[in-house]
Amino acid sequence: MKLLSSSSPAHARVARRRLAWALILTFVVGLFVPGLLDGATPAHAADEGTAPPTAASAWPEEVVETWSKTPVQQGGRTMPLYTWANYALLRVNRKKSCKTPAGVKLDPVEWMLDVLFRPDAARTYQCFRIETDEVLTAIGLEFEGRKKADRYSYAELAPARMKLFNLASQYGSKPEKDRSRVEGALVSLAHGIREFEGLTHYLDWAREGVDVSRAKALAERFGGRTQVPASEALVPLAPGLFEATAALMDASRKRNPQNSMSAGPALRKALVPYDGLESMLSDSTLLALMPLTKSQFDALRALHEKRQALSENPEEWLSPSDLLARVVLWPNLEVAPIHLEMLGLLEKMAADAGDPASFTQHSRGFHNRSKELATALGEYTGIESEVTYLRANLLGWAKHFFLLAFVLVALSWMLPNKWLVRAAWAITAACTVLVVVGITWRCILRGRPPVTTLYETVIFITGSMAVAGLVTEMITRQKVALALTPLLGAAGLFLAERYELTKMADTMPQLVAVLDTNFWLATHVTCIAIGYMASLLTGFVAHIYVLGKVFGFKKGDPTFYRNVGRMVYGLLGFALIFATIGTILGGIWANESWGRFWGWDPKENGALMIVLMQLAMVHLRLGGYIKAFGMSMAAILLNIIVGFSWWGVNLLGIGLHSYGFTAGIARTLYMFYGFELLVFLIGAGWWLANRPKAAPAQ
Amino acid sequence: MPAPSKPVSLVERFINFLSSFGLAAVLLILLLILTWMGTLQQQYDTIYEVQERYFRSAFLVHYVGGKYPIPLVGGYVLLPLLALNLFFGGLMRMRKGASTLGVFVIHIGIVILFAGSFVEDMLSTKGAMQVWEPRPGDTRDTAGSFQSYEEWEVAVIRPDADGSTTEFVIPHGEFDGLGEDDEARCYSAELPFDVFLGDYMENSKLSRNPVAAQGESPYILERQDAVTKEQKDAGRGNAAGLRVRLVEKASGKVHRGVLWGGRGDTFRTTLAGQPWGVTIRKRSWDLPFTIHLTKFIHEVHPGTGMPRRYSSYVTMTPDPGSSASERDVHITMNEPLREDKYTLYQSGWGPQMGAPGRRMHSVFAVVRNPSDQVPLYACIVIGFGLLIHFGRKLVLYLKAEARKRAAAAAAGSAS
Repeated sequence: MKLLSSSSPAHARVARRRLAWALILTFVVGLFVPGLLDGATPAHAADEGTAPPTAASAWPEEVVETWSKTPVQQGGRTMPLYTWANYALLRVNRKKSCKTPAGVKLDPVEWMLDVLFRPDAARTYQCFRIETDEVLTAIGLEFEGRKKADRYSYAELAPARMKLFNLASQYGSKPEKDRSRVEGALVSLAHGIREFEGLTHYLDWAREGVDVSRAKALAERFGGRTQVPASEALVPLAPGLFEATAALMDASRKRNPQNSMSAGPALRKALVPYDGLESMLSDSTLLALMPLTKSQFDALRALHEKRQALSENPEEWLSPSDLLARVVLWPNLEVAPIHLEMLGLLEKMAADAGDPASFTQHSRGFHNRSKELATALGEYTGIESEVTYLRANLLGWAKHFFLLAFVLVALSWMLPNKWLVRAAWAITAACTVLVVVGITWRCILRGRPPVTTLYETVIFITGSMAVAGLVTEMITRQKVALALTPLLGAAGLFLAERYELTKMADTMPQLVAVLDTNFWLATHVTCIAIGYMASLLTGFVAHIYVLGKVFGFKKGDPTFYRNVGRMVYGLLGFALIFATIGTILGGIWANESWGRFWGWDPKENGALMIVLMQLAMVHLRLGGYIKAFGMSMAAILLNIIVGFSWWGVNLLGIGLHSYGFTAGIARTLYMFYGFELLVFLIGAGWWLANRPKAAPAQ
Repeated sequence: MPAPSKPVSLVERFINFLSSFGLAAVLLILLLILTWMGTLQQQYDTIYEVQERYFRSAFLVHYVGGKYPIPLVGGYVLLPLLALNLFFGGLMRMRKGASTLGVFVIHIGIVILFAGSFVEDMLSTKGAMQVWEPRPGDTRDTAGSFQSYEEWEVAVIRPDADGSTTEFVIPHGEFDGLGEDDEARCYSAELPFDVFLGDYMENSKLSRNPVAAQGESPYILERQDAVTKEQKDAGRGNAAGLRVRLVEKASGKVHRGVLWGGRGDTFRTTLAGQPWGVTIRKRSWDLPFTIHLTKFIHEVHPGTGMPRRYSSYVTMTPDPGSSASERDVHITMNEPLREDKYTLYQSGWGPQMGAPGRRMHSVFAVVRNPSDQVPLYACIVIGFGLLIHFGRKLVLYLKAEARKRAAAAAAGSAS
């Protein structure tokens, strides 16, 4: 019978306290034990000291370090190889690490080194994430004992590659938004396989050398040697190749006068006598590893000014393929000895992939030359800082600790304790600092204001929401904003991560010409983003009002609801200021760029809709048509409008802002709409059941 | 006994209604719905069509999913009503005092914004001009006029003895909407004939008439569907066409022809030894200066097709008599040329594909908008008003909270 007395307040408190501490411990342990939480923990940090070293995959630390900081030119900007490898792996594996068959976890640069220098081993890594086995069925593959969504190696998928490419070509011609999930996955897998194949063959020429036995004059030049390294063969080959290629190109032009860019096929034909060198002609956009020399840069810039350059940008770095093509097609451009040296180092690394000491030495040499060239062009600035930024993973840590702070706040509801609240405060503030530092770091790296891409809107809105939440809590001291801030912080950073995973591309891309203005990015875009943030915060505080009423939370405490209602109104005013000024500033920018203030473009309309909703709410409140509950219900609808304006219009794929088009985020957005509508309907149902009844007539 | 309430006149009631918060809220919500539907419709129609149908109309029917009709009130009803509501409610009848100063300023700012938009809608002219890089013997490197995007005009052209031409222009409004059996008569005392225009087609195709009789045009026009959104996105435009009939005033003799905007051909005829031409072309406006393109630069980010820079280096030469002087100007994205009430923006370029050394042309959007800078002033006023209003509210709230805390602390220490 005594056991039944456990329902007494004292025992209940003890039980709650035990449960609370058990939850805290579980969460904290989960936070730091790899594998319990998702893969956002930096792979290298999680692996240190845990991965069993194997001869096949353990690259010396210095090699990983030098290659991480080696600059490459991708997507129009100079970035560290670490960044590029991150996204290359993310594109195929949907996470930024992968495992060898022996279970060793590799970070993106280790994986990239294996792909480039040990392609046979890399082909066996299960690094192709397939979200549904329907994709395998479509390409005629079947595997026993695998999960519906699982990872596969290139070796496992290779037998079906032709069928995959055929299907991808068929579905690739469809607009992205019209593709089914399986069709989209097939297209994406085909891209991944092609990119992977390009990388595994990227250094074939370095591994195999050039057989010049078919070109007698060349064989004589090399003292009768028939097999020579490409870096040696390249220069003596050039004059003969130039003539041969020019002749083939002339013939091609005569056949088709419109086709002035047919250098590739001509070059490939001209290379037939030089067995092995044609493998250097890979996809030239794959990995531009060699910066131009300053003199080449100046010469190409001069050609560009005279409109004699083939490229629309004279600043393109060189891949081995580019180097071969330029040597052959532009004999008047000097071949830089440093580029031949770099080719030679790649050859040595390809040959010494199994010799850590030699590989380390050549990696260092390659990195130093690359750094020297990039520094001369002023393009090495920020490379090392970017690697540090990515490895620091500030946003990933902030996400986890925001969750911890929310758990502490939630526990403080069950177990009122000022230390829990103080800890939640401190952790939330620390996470906010992490996000703000992360955003500031990105601004410094990019030389831009905080918001220039959709990804940056997410982290900026999350960061500013955390700041606004903490300030609101300081003003109101209701613990409402304190509970919401870490939850919204974690949700925002989760969304940022999900968006990055969906886009699978650099989050610091170059900007299109119309966005190349720091003044308007700093004023209009920042203002609008703060307007979105404040509107969403208003809506989320309103959820507490509505759901609190519905579920009878603090039923006997009208002061609580009065304060929350004031908070909704105060935040709405804050949102209105930024949304209105941001929208008008957008019109003024449009007037400066396109010559009209307002063009009813979808993104402009989205911003206007937010302002209109806010104004309608204010007028309904002032007119006495709605009170605190009505304002909160309207604020929930405002959230839907913000969702439409922020993400929805991008899904339409129309308008002058279509550079922000985002496929793949639709499901999350519809779930958000659904959730908000559900809360609204629940609130409406409660109101209908509890509205004040009219007094009966006397 | 309560005092008898003063009877409210009908006019007063109407003004009360016009100035009410309720009306403001309803209009704002209707405008919100209209904007939402107009945005979604842009997936299917061109932005110009959507603007005309949703925002430049009184009423319309929107079809959800192409099937389910929803009647909507258009911009031409909502915006004037909102302006009236703002005038009566937000300016005239609003209680004036420190507590409403911010709101009053906001409303003034919105009135300025509305007025600016109204002036722009009524008085602005918008179009584009294309200028080529210099080449000997080609005069297309200099331009002094710009053309409308959508509007056409018919020009009757008389070549003069000194090599110049005299033009009589018939604006779009005179022939827009003319059906197969309609005809509009256009005349001038200086013309020896009357011009009859009919059968206007927004988009048309020209083909040879194999059975043309003597005196009839050797060409016929076929009506075509207006270009779709996809075609427009791909760079295709409408080619307007119409039938023309010139009737000599002296003899009554008739000259028939067709005008087609697709190629800019001129219908030519001779009356009493004087050659005449009639053509349809995009409506054109002269600028008070000429633009000479020296060089156009187009760059992409390295290794991508993403545009990094479009820039035109031009020389602006004012017309004789102007007080302005010739100057070299660099026009690029976000840096337009502003000169004598006109603004020129970098909006396009061509040819898109070509060999190295190709000659380029630059396209400028040209706008003459008397209220060009009004939104900026309105923004400053509105921002100022919002800060006054919500800043005051915040200060009052913080003061009240501080008082409450002080009272609670005092009560605590007293007990």
